[in-house]
Amino acid sequence: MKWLKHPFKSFSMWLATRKFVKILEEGTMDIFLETLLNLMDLYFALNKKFRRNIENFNATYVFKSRDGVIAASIIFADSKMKVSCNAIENASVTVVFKDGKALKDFLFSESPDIIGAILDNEIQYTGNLNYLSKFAYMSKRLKFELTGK
Amino acid sequence: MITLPDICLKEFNLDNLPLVKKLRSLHFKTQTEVCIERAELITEFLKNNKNSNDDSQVTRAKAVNHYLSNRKIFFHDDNLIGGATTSKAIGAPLYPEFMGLSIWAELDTISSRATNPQKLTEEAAEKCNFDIFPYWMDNTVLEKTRKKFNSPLSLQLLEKIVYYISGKAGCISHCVPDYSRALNEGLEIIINEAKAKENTNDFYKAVQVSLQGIINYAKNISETAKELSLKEKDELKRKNLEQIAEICSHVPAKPARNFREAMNSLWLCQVGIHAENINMAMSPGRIDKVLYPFFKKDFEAKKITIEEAVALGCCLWLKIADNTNLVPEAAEKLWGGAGATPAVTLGGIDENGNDSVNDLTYIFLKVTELMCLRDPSVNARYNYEKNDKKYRQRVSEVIFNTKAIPAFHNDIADIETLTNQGEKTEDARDFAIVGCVELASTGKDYVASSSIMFNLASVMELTLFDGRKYTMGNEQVGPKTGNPATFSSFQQFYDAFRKQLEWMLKNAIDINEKMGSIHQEMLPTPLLSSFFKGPMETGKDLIFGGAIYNSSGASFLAFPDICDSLNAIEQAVFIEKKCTMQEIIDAIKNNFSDPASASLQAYLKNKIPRFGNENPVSLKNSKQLVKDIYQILQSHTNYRGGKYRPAFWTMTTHAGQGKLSGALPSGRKAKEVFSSGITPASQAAKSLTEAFNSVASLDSKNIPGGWALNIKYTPLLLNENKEEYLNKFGDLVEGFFRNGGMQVQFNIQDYETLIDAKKNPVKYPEMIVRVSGYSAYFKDLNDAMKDELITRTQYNLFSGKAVPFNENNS
Repeated sequence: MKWLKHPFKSFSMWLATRKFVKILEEGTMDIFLETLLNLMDLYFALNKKFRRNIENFNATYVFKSRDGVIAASIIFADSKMKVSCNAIENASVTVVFKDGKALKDFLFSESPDIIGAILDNEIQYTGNLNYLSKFAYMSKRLKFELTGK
Repeated sequence: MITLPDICLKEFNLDNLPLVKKLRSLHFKTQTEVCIERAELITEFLKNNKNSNDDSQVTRAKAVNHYLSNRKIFFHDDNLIGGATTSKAIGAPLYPEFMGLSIWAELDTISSRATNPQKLTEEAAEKCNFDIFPYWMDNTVLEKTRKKFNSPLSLQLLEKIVYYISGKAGCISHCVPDYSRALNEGLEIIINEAKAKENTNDFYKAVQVSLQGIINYAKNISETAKELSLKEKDELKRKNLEQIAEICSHVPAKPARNFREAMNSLWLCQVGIHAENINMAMSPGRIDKVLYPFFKKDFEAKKITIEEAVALGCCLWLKIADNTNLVPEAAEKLWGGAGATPAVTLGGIDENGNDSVNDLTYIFLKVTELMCLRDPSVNARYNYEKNDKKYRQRVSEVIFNTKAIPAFHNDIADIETLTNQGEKTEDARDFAIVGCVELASTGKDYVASSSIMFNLASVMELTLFDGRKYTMGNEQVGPKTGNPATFSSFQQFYDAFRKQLEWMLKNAIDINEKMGSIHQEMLPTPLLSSFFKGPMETGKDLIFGGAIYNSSGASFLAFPDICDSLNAIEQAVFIEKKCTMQEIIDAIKNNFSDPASASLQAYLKNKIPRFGNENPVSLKNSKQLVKDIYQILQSHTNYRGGKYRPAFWTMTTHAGQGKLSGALPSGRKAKEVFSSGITPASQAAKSLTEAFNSVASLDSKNIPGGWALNIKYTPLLLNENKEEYLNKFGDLVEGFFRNGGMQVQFNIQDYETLIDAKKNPVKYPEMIVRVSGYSAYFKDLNDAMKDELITRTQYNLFSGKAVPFNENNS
C-alpha cells in the first residue's frame, strides 16, 4: 500500500496524473513539460522499479522552447531527479522545441519521428542523442504505466 | 569446365527437393526477432573481464572470443549447415557500439510497430534498458567522435541528415574476405602462423584469440548436435545432426575434406566475422570459385550428386539470409526494406584471365532461381570476351524467372576501373561485389564502400540560395557563392555549384576521417584481418591500413535529378531564355504551387534535356559532374592511406532523402523521391537505346565505386516468344557492356502488377524487386519506395520503347 507509506506523494501523484491525462486529451501544451517532469519526479519517488532507470545515472538535460517561454533543467544524480526552471550550461543534451505540442509529439508519438521533427525544425538538439532516447523511453514508459496507453 | 548435361538443371524444383521446400516455407513464415545475445556477452566481457594491460586489438579479440565461445547453440530447423549469425531463426542483431541504442525509445513498441516489426521479448528489453545501453551511452562511435573532436561542424552537418550520412557511425564492414585459406588449410594453420609471430606485434595475439573463438563456437555446435542426435527419433533429422556434429568437430579448425564441410566451414567463418563486425554487406564473394575444387573432387569421385549440391546451396542461401538489420522506426520509414545485403558473386574470369564459369556457377544460379530470396544479393559477372554466351543466356533466364535477380556486371569495364585505381591486373580480375554494386578485389581490397552517402540535392539548394539551406530555416550553411539571379552565364552557376560541392564533400570526408580514427581506437578487426592478404604479412590490422588496397566509398544520391536541374538551368535560363534564374528560384521557394510556377514546372519537366535522352547538353553536364566528383574525391587520401571512390547506388535512400528534400530546378517538387542510382528519371528516356547510351557514355573509370542502373521490362506477352525474349534480353545487356556500361539490374514487372502489389500486399508475399543495388521484398518497402518502383520507366523489350505511365492508375 504505497499510498499509506507516502500519503502526500501518492495524492500528489494522483493529482498530477489526472492533470497529465487532461493535458494529453485537451492539448493544453503550454504546461505539458512542467506536468510531465513533475509527474516523473513523483513516480521515481514512489515506484522502485521505475527508479531503477536512474540508479547510477548521472546526467543533465535542458529543455527549452524556441521562444524562451518554457525552460527546464533536469539533473539526475544519486538516483534522484531534480528539476529547476533555469537552463544550465554544458548539459548532456539540450533540446530546443518549437512548442509543447512538438515536444509531446516527439516524446509520445507511437512512431517517434525524430528525423521528421528535426527536419521540420520542430526539435533541435545538441549533445548526446542517446540521453534523449533514454529520456523518451522513460517518458513513454511513464505514460504507459499511468494511462495504459 | 562444364560437365553438367543441362546447365539449367531443369529437373530440379522445389517439389522434388522437399527439405528445401520446407526450409524455404519456414523462412518466409518466420518473423524477424531482435537478438541481443552478442550485445549482452560483449558488454558483459567489457564490464567484468577487460584487462587494462591489453591493447585495444587484444581486448577486442577477447570480447569476440567471449561471445563466440559462450553463445547458446540452437537448431531452429533441419538446415544441413551448422551455425547461425544470431540466436534467433531470423535475427536482427544489436550492435551497441554503433547505432543499436537508437531503438531505446522503442523498446516497448518495436515488436508491434506498423512498419516491419521486429520481435523483442520483455526480458530482452529490460536487459537493454538496464544493463546494455547504459554502458554504451557515452561509448558509441558517434559519441566518442563528438567528445574527442568537440562536436565539429562536419558532425553537426551529419546530424542534419539531409547533407550526407556517414556510414562509420553505423559500420565499416562492406568488404569481401578471402575464405580459400580457411577452407584449404584450416584456421589452426593461421593461428599457428600468428603464434610464430606473436612476439613481434599484439596484432598476432589478437588474431589467435579471435580465430580460436570461431573454433570454440564450432565445437559447441558439434557437441550440442551430438547430444540432440541421441534424443532425436526421426531418422533423417538424427542423421543430419550426426553429420553436423562430425563436420563442426573438424572445420573450420582443419582443412575441409569435402564439399559439405567446405560450405559449412565458409559459413562458420562468415558467422565469426559477424561476431566482430556489424552485419552490413559482409560479402562472401566468389563462392562458385572458392568452393569449386571441393565440389569437383566429390563429384568426380561420385561422393555427391547434383541434387545434393543444389540442396546444400539452398541451405547456404537460407543461412546467409538468417539475419537482417536492426532499424528504428523512423529510419525504417525512410530507408526500410533492406536486408543485410551480403553479396555473392558468380562467373567472370579468374586471376589469369581465364573463364571462371564452372558447374558450381550453374548450380548456384539454380539455387538463386529456386530460392528467390532477398539475401544473399546475387551478382553475375559477365565477360563478353571470355564467358560463353550460354552463360549469359542462363543468367538472363534466371532474371526472367525470378523477375529480378541476379544483377549483371561487366567484367571488362569493372576490371579496367580497378586497374585504373592502381590494382594489379590479376587482383582486379579477382574482384567481387560488395553489398549493392561496389567492386573489391577478393581479400585484398578494404573498400569501406559505404563510408559516405552524399545528397547532391542539398548542394543544388545551397547553390541556389547562396550557401543557405532554404528548407531548414534559411540558415547560412555553406560558403557564399553569390545570388544566382545575378549570374550572367551557366558556367558561373556551375562554378558556384562546384564550390558548394567541394565544400560539402570536404565536410563529409572530415567526419569520415574523424570517425575512422575512433574506429582505430576502439574497433580493431583482427578476426576479419586474418581473412585478408596484407595484415598477416605485416602485422597491421585492416583498420590501420593493413590491406593491400585501401579506399573509402562515397555514393551520390539524386545524380539524375541534379543533372536534369543543371540541364534545366542551362537550357531554360541561358540558352532558350525561357525564364529567368529568379523565376526558377521563386518557383522552388513556393514548390511550383502558384499558377506561373506550375506552368514553368510543366515546361521544365517536359521540354528540357533530361539525363537519359542523349541531348548534347545533358550528355555534357552528366559527364562533367561525374568527372568533377571523381577529381574532388580522388584528391583526398583516407586515414588508411587510400583514395576516396565515387559511386552511384542509392539503396532506398533516394526515396528517404527525396522525402526530406526541397523542390529542384528540374521541376521535381519537394518531398518527391529522387531517381534511383544512375537511372534516368521516370519517363526521361523514351527508349532503351537512349537510356543505355546515356549511362554508358559516363566513363566508368571515374566511377570506381560502381553504379546501379535499374531497368524495368514488360513481362513476356502472350503473343511473344520466350526464346526470342531471352535472346533480345541478353543481346541488350551485351550491347550495353560493349559500350562501356558497368552494371545493370532488372525488374520484369509492369506498372499494373506493381500497383496491384501495393494495393494488395497479401497477394504478393514473396514478390522480390531490385531496388538500387540490392533486392527487397516489395511488401517491406515504404510507400515512397513502392511508388518509385511503380513509376520507374517500363520498357517493351522488343520495341525498345518506353511504355507511357498513366498517373491516374496509381
